[in-house]
Amino acid sequence: MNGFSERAAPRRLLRLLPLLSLLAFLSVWHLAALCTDLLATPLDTAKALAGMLFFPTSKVTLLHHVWASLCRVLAAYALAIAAGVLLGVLFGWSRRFHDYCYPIFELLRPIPPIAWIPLIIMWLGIGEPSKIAVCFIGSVVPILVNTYFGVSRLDPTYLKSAKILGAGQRALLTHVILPGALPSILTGMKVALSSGWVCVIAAEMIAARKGLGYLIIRSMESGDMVHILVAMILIGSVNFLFSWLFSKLEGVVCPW
Amino acid sequence: MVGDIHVKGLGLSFPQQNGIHEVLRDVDFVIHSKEFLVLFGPGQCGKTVLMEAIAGLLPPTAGSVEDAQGSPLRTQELCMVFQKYALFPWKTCRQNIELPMKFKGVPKQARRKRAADLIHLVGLDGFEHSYPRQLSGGMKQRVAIAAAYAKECPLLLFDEPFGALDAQTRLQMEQELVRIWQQEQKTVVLITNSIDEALLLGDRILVLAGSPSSILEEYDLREFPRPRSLSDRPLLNLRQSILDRGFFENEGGGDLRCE
Ligand SMILES: Nc1ncnc2c1ncn2[C@@H]1O[C@H](COP(=O)(O)OP(=O)(O)OP(=O)(O)O)[C@@H](O)[C@H]1O
Ligand SMILES: [Mg+2]
Repeated sequence: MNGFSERAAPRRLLRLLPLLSLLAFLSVWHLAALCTDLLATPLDTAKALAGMLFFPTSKVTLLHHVWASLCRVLAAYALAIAAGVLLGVLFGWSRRFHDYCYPIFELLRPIPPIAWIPLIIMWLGIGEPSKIAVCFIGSVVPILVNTYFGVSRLDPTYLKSAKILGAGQRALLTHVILPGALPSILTGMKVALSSGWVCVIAAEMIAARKGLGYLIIRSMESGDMVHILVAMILIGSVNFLFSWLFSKLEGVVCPW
Repeated sequence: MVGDIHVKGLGLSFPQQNGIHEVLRDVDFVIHSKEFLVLFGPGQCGKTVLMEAIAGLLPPTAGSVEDAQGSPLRTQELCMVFQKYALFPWKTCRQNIELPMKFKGVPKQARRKRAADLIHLVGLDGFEHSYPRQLSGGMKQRVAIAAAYAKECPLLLFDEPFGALDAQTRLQMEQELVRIWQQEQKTVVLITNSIDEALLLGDRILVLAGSPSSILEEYDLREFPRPRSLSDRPLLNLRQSILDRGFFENEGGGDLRCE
């Protein structure tokens, strides 16, 4: 009994630790803001955030900016999953397809998605498609690479076993190859979501009328410190939320 | 339906950096319909390779495997339980067992019913929804065996199915296998490197050894009544005479069961 309560106390303390470190961070921020004019105080930032929720900045409210960025990322993400999984499975499945096409992919892969922006704007203009395209490039690469590795590293015994149990090509794909590669595909999808989010911000910083990337660049142009901070906080929070949602999802779709 | 199966002049080699590695040469034998045939041999002698060749997973370099009509075996007619438990980790116990029926197009209702019967047969009631990682080695192997039965094929191939089990579970599973084999009237080919297992289970024992390996000896055990016990005098004599032949000489000899 005694031992139990002795151990329970520090555990409760441990749970408070993240909160304490957050508090410390905010205090340092606050002090820095008071002593210099390099930062706005956390309180001012929070006030600005609250204000922007209800009053439009650049014609739309804050949630609209978030929503605009989100839509671009998710549209690109859906396309990237479809294309990445398809190509990844093909690369892992067909020796010949791999030998013919993988070198091209290896050649293009080292070009950062952001370096594509000028070319894409020349091709697609500055509308929605160009932003979606940049995010797509950022998202498709990790999905493709991870799917490919997942498929090619599948234990050959599974393939033999499926063949012996009477699986046709299609059953092999749906019951063995895809589920076998799923943990790896999910890892790719997790990285891709983050990378897509980074890309959308970059694309919006160059050409957009709304979105968090636009918000941050516009605030910079008008020297508006609080709004830069608000945008940064939101960009971080959304990405954090993505990761959190994803770790929940992994347990649901991959229960084994 | 398959009747007797003829393995004729089977040879199998793998290419290597320096030439080829010949694993099997001139392997000749018959698998009689509905018998319990044991393939017995030392480690690395090519037992798995031979079984995969029979199952059609490895194309032989020479010779053939034919049914009574002289045509090659079809995948629908046989099933193989692998040395490594080849359950799909992403499917539950029941889903693993239902899989071959699903591939065959058996309707859902019938699948459920048959899977439930098989789960009961291998004594896994209550574990229908467990994933393989939640099962012990012996339980996983039972699921693999149940999945093989679910395919409803006349020829069952077992590659050292009990190799990784503890002695107690192993004995129990061996008896279970004999019971199911008698009940369901199948042809069974079982690989083992344990002479005791071979003696307890086989109608006939074929010894595969040498390098390259071929069938060196055949023992007929059909006159030994079942259930068998290793304390029976005649069985012990046979065991001794097999050991005296020294098929395992390059391994220090004797039974590998205690490894
Ligand atoms: N795909 C392959 N490529 C090259 N060599 C192989 C291949 N498969 C098996 N071999 C070789 O064939 C030989 C026999 O292997 P096999 O797995 O059939 O032995 P085994 O009798 O089943 O052994 P164990 O008792 O350990 O299961 C080994 O020397 C192995 O290296
Ligand atoms: Mg083997």
